[in-house]
Amino acid sequence: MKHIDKPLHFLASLALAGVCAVAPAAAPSTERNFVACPIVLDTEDIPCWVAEYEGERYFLAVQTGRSAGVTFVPQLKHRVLVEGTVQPDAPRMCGGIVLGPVKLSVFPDVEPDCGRKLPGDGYKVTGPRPIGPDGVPPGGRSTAVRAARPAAPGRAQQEAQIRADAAAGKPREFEILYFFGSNYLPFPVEQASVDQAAEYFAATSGARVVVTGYRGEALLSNGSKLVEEQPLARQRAQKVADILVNFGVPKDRITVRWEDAPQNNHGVLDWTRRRVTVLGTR
Amino acid sequence: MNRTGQRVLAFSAIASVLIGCLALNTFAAGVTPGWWKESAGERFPLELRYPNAHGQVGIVSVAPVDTRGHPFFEPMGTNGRACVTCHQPANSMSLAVETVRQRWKEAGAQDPLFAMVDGANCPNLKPDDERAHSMLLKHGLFRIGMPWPPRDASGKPIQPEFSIAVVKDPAGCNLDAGFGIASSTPTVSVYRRPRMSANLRYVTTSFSLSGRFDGKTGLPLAIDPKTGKRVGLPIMSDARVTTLEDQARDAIRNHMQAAAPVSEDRIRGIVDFESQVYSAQVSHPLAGSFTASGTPKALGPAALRDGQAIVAGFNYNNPVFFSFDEWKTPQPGDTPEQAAFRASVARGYDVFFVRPMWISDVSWFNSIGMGNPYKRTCAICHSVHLTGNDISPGVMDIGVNNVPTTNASVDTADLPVFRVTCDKAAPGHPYLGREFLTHDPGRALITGKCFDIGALVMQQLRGLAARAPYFSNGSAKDLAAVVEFYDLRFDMKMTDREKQDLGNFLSVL
Repeated sequence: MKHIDKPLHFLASLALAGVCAVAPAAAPSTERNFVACPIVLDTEDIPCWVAEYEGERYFLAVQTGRSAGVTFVPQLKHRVLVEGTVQPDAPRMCGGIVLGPVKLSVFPDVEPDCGRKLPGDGYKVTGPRPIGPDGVPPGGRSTAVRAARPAAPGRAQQEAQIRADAAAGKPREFEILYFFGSNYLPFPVEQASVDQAAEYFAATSGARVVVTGYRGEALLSNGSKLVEEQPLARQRAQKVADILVNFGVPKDRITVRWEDAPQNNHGVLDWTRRRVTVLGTR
Repeated sequence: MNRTGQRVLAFSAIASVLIGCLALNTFAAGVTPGWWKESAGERFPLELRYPNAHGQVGIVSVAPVDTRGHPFFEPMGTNGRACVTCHQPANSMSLAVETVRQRWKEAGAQDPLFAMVDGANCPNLKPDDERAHSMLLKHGLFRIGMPWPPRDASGKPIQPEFSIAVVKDPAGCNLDAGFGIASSTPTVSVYRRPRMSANLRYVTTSFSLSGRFDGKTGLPLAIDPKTGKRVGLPIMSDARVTTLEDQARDAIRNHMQAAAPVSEDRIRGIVDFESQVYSAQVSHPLAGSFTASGTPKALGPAALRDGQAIVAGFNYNNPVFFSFDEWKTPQPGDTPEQAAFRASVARGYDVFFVRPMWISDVSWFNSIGMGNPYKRTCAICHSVHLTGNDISPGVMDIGVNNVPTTNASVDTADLPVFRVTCDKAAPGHPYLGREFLTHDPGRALITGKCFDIGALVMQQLRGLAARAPYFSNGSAKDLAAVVEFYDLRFDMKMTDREKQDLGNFLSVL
C-alpha cells in the first residue's frame, strides 16, 4: 500500500486565500449551522429531537432505530453540531423549523448538564419505528408508525449490480461521509458504501484503487468556524484502506492519499466535504 | 447421591412443596444435590431435571452422552477441575452460589472448585481458610486476572488509553505485591460469574445487520480462522475470544491450569457437547409443568432444542418469547393460585416486551446512533428469539460495573474499586467522561479503549432460577434485585405489581 502525502500546502494556501477573500462572514441565511445542547420531547407516538438557536426552535430528528436506518439522533450530555438548510415551505415539526437536509454531529466531550428531556406538549410525531415491538400485534393496532419511505434496493440486488459493473469494467466511485471530527463509520449507509467499494474492487482485476481522505470546516451561522483536526484526513483514508484490505482488496493495489487542507462549502452543506473517496484507475 | 434418581422428577412431587420451601438440599444429605463430580463417568441422558427455589430446571441433550473420558467431564489441567465443575446441569450449566456454599460444606478446599488460581480471592491466601474464598462463597465470583497493560492476540502489550489505580481492594489481590497491579507481572483482578454452557446455538451464531461489519464499532467483524466466516463478539463476558473452541482453550489454560495445550479432538469434544445441550426452567410449583398443554411455547428446554437460531425477536412476527396469552386467563381446572401466578407471568412478559422506558447512558447502545435517551422496551436489547441476549454482536455498558451508574439495588461492597483516568487525546466514556470509578473495566481490559470501560457482553435469560446471583459481577442476589436495578437505572417507575410480574416472568424462563 502506498502512502502519498500529497504536497498540497501551496495550492491549499491559495485556495484558502481565495475562499477567505470571497467568503461571507457567516453561513448564508438559507442555512442554520450552529452548536447546541439538544432537547428530546416525549411526543406521541415517538420522541422528537429539537434544538434552540437564537430564540428559535429547530426540528432535528425523530427517534428511529438501527434497523430503520439510523439518522444519528442527538444525545443528552453532549453538544450537537447542527448543519442544515431551512425548508421555508415545510410545516413545523414539534414546534420547530424543519431543516433539510440536516447533518447532526454529536461532540464527544461529556457535559452532564447539556440538554433536556421535556414533555411532548401535545405534539404527535410519526416515524419509521415505533416505541414498542415492530409490526402488528395480534388483534391490535400497529404500534409501528411508519412514514412513507421509498423502497430501497435490497442488499443482494445492490451486490449483484456491483459485481456486474465490475465484470463489465464500468467505473464506479464511492464516497464515505463523516460526522464532524470523527472517523467512525456509521451504520448503515457509510458502512454499506465501504462494503460495496470492497465488493467492487475485489471483483475487478488490475485496477488501482485510490483512497483519498479529507477533513473539513464548518462555517457557522454566527460567523465562527469549526475546523477538524489535521490528522483526520489521513486517519479516515487509512481506516477505509485497511477495511478494504480486510474485505479482500489486494493491498498492493491500494494507494492511500489525503489532503491536509480543510475543505469547506462556505456554510452550505459543509458536511459533504468531510469525506473519503474511493476511485479506481487503470 | 444418585443422580439418576433425580431425573424427571414428577411435577406432583414438586407441586406438593410450598413455594419457598423447595430448597436444593431437599435431597440426600451430605452431597450437593445434583452435583456432577469430575470423572464421575455417568451417562448424560436425553433429559435431566433439578429442583430450585422456583421449581425445576430442565436440561435436554440432543443425544445421550457417555461421559467416561469425555473432555467436558474430565480434568485436563493440574488442579482437578473439568468443564463441568463450573457448568453444572443443576444450575442450568452455570453455577449458583448456593451450590458453591454446599460444596464448601461438604468438601472444603479439597474440591477443585476452590482452586486457588481463581476460586480464591487471591492465589496466595491460605486454601483452607474460608475467608480466602469469600468472593466465590458470598457472590459466586471467580477471580479473573487480566494482564496490565492489555495484550493483543500475539501477546504484545497494547498502549491503553487510560491509567488505572486501585481505590478499594476488599479481596486484597489488586494491591498484593505478588499478584497486584504493581507486581512484577502487573495484573488487574476482577471478579465475574461463570456463564451458561447451554443454548449456545442461539448465542454463537453470527448475526449482523451490517454484513461484514460490526454494526456497533463500524469495524470489520473478526474472522474465525477455522471456518473463514465472520464472527461477532458473543462469547465470554469481555469477548476476548470469538469462538467456542478458543473459549475452551482459554478455560483449560487458565481455569484448569493445564501445562500444555490439549488436542484438537478434545476441544472438538467439548464444543460438540455444549452445542447440543439446552437448558431452561421446566416447571414452577404454582404454574405447573411447562410440558403440559396450554403452556406458552417458549417455555422449557425443548423449545430451545427445537427452535430456530438466530432470529431477531423484537417484533410481532417472531416475538422474543412468543406469546404468553395462554396464561392471561384462567383455564378449566386451574386453582386460583395457579391462575393468579400464570397471569402475573403473562403480565410480566408484557412489561418486558411492550412497556416503554427511557434507556439512557448505555455506551455501545445509546452512543451508536440510537440517541440518548432512547424510548423503547427491554426487548430492544434482549432481542434474540428464545434466549433474550443481544441480537447485535458486541458489548454494551448497562451501568452495573461503573460506580456512577450502579444503584442501591445491587450489592457491590465486596468488589474492587478502580479509578480510571483517560488520556486527553482519547475519546472518553460517552457518558462518564475521562475520570471515574469502576468495579470492572470490562472490555477495556482487552482493548485498552476508554469508551469500552464497563462494557461487557450481554448474557442469555434462560435458566435464571437455577443460577443466582445475577449480572456479571454477581451483585444482584435475586431476580427482585435485577428488576429493581433496572427500575432505578432507567427511572422506569414500575408499580410494585409490575415488578412482581416481571420477576415472576424471569423466574419461569
